[in-house]
Amino acid sequence: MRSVSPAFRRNWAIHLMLLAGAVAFVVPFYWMISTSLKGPEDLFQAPPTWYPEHPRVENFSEAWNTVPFPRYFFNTIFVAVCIVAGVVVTSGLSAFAFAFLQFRGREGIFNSFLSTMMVPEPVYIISSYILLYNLPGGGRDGWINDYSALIVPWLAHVFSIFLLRQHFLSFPRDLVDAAVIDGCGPVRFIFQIILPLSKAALTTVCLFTFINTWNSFLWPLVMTNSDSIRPIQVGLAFFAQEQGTEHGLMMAAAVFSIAPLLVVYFFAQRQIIESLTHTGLKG
Amino acid sequence: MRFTAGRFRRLLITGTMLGVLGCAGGDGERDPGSSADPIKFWHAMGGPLGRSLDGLVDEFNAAGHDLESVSMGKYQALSQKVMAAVAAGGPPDLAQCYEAWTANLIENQSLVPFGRFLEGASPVRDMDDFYEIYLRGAEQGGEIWSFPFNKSVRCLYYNKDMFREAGIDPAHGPRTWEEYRDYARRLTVDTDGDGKADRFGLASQITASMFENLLVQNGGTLLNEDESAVSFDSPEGVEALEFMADLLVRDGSALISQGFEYQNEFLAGKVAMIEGSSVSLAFIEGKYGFELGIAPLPMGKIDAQLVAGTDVVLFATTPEREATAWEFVKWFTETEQTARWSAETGYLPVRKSAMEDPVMVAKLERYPGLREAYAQLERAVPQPQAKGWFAGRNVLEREAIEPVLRGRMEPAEALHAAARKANAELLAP
Amino acid sequence: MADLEPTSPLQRGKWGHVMPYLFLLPAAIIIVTFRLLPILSALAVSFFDASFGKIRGFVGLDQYAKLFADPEFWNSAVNTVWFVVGAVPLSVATSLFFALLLRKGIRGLGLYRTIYFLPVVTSFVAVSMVWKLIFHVRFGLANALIEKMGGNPLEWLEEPTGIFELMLRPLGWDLPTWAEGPSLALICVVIVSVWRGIGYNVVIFLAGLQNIPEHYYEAARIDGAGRAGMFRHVTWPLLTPTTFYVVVMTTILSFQVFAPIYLMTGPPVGGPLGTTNVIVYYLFEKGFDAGGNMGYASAVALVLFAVILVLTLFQRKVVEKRVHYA
Repeated sequence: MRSVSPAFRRNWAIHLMLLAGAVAFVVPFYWMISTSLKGPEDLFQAPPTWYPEHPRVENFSEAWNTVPFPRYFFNTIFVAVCIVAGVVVTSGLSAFAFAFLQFRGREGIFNSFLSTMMVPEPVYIISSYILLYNLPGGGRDGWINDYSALIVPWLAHVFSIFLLRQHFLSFPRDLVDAAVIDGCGPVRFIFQIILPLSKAALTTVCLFTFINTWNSFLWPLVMTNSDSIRPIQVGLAFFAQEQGTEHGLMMAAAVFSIAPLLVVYFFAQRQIIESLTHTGLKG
Repeated sequence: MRFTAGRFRRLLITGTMLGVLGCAGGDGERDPGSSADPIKFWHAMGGPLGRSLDGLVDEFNAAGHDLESVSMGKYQALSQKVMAAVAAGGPPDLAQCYEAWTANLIENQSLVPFGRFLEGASPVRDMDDFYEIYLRGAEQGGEIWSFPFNKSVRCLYYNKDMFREAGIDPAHGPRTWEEYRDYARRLTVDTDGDGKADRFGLASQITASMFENLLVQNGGTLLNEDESAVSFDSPEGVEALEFMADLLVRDGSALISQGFEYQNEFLAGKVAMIEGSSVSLAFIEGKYGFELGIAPLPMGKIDAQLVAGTDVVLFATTPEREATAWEFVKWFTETEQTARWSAETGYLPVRKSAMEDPVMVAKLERYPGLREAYAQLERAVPQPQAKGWFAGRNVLEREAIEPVLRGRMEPAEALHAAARKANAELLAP
Repeated sequence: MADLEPTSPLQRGKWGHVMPYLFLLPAAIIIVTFRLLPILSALAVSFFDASFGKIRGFVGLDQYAKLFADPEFWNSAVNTVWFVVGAVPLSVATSLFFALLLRKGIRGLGLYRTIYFLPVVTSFVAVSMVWKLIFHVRFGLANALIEKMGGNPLEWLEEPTGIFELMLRPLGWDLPTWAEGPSLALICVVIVSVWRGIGYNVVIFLAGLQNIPEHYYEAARIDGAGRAGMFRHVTWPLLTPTTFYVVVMTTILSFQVFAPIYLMTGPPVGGPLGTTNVIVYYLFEKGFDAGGNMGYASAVALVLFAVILVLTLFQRKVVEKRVHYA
């Protein structure tokens, strides 16, 4: 190693550490896939085998056919798309107000919004259930077991408002003055100046809202009762409960429950990470 | 009007209080549903049990009814959903219910007693045909508040091949506590000679059920006569828990697993015996490659055990809906249906006549051990009904059974400490 | 109207004062109705005796008195603190470490970043299911690896013994119960939670690092600073806002940990021996089980909220001071 330059030696060590990290992140996914192909002979080996010696592809068809996964997927996507559309509009408008406009109670309102982030979901889930049940409209049980329970309460998202406000605050102050001199009203200002400058931030909000909705669990667990409305995560948890201990089937179900999102991620990962990086999060 | 932060805050608080006192009251502002809406039946029957139940519900609906069967997956989720729904003022029409939950719901005035229907326009045929013990368990304060639905007993599943290998007669399981320990020890083998056991005599999860049965087999009871205090810390209880610790821990012949994993170990041929519910059969059927034996639980001083499984309760809605819900319960517990339900799932039939039904006879022929296992019902006792027992049983499981099986506490001290705490739960208003 | 604050030039015209509220309205309706209202009513219930959603009378601070006298509450509080103390530094340090390694056009940066971020887009339901198998005592990967390296298999999620005790026992020490530390089971949950969240923090740190102007480093280099010196005098102080953000967010989320506990531990959830019963699960169980003691659950919630709020404000105070003197 003597002849190797110190710079290379340093990078070599860095790569080794990064690689070790990468392995730690990939192995559980590998284990998920490998287990999903194992039948009883492979599952109950101690120590377990790294790969299925008797691959059992039927795990996938069996898991797929036991519960209505296509319906779960449809529900999830429908709910997520509605929420993303809503969150972009509501967060964009209010972040605009918080960042560019002056009004009484601005700090107070913003802080009271922010404070809701400090309250964990289980705290308000029962009172939310009571509220949703007693709201007018919806199905037989009010909003319970209805798409409205999954969508409407999530149409505004405090963290997204926070994120967009931080982004808007990074705009130079003269931007507003220049726009006003040009005779720009607030609506034109939003569409002609803010929107083009906020693509990355808005993408981040969209993607994160989508991912969070896709992965949300406790809320839909409590608010839904039937397969026709259940999203994928609740469906997966139910499947795991019903299969109880069939590791192969459970992992097969887990694999296709995460697959769509991972595919989207692989195609959009540059966009996701870059937009997150460029949003310019500041304390 | 200026909208100050102070005003905003006051408005919020007022709105909140109104919300709390208004919605949370759940005084049935919402119409509980016209008779046109389907009757909601919430249960915890997943997997093969859910499929069987849905089949029966479809058949009931084919006769012109409209009942919707909704699975909540497991009992804890079911009880949580029922709680939330009752709190919101919109309970289901029917739900599965353990005895100790029933007391809560009675107190909350959410239920309709079954007496109204049993003596009403559409009574059941031949009440004497029901196993008496179920009705005893369903009765609280002189009224029948729940109706037997999916009752079970615990029994022993064993691997006959492994019995033969160990030189034990595979025709029957262990019959006494002593035999239980002895078999477990003899069935524990170190196959690769590394000094550690690879195959175990017995496997179990940490559960109060096993202790409860050992306790009654040893002549003890969970609660005193009028259910005002626990009695599981009696000398019989301490002895039962000592035995359980010997069997599962000290002898080194048992495996304690997380949740239902012990069933996997049994199916994979790594364990010779497991205790399970009579319903476990539905989950292990067709998944093992050995000769399966089914036997009653080994006997203690007395041959007894607690009835397991749940009843259904009927929620107060409108007279029409309650009547339709009752029609389902009545239909479901008729000889033909209860026999089919039992044959498909392993739950016990609720009527004696069902044991002679052809589907039931066929099932018992296929699993000869089952007849003896089911016969345990004749010597079984009902579950406690006290409202505080739901929490009390949690205390027993988490603060006595678990610490003892994990080697943290001695049976006597653990039971006494748990008893003090469980008594507080029983006394709670 | 003279006492109103100066408005932005965008707010000219007679609607100028009302306009901001109109922009806020859509989000405010949702947040007030579906967040603030349920949260405040949940918290208000803590002063009542309430079960099955029925208010059965004002009890003042009784719920709080009961709460502080309940050893189960204190157990869950201690477990939560251990979770936070374990998860926050581990997550922040690891992600900062990887972010520093990934800085400045190292080859394969994109690929590493993609991989590290993978768990972030994976649901806790799926993540918990696979980690439960990895930690499986008999057929799990974790024990297989340990045994391959000649170690003794561990009980992982089934191990109630504190990790300090586990580490010192081979040396012949036997710690008293209070000094045993968090159970190995709780540490498993910490590991999984940190594993899932690192990718996000790495990206945030990378963004923060990118914002440090290059000329600071050049100036430091001219002053003869080495790698460590540059980290101490340039990177660390200039990264403070980012670090603060990451620490605050991770702390808040860690205090609220629920999903991995609910999905990975037990049965009963919170086991073994209640060593993974964290405060949010404790209040969930109290509020939902056996008739739902909602008043009591709400009291727990309010205490937790107060703790998070105080800590966040405290962190802000401390960090603001530091930023000043940096």
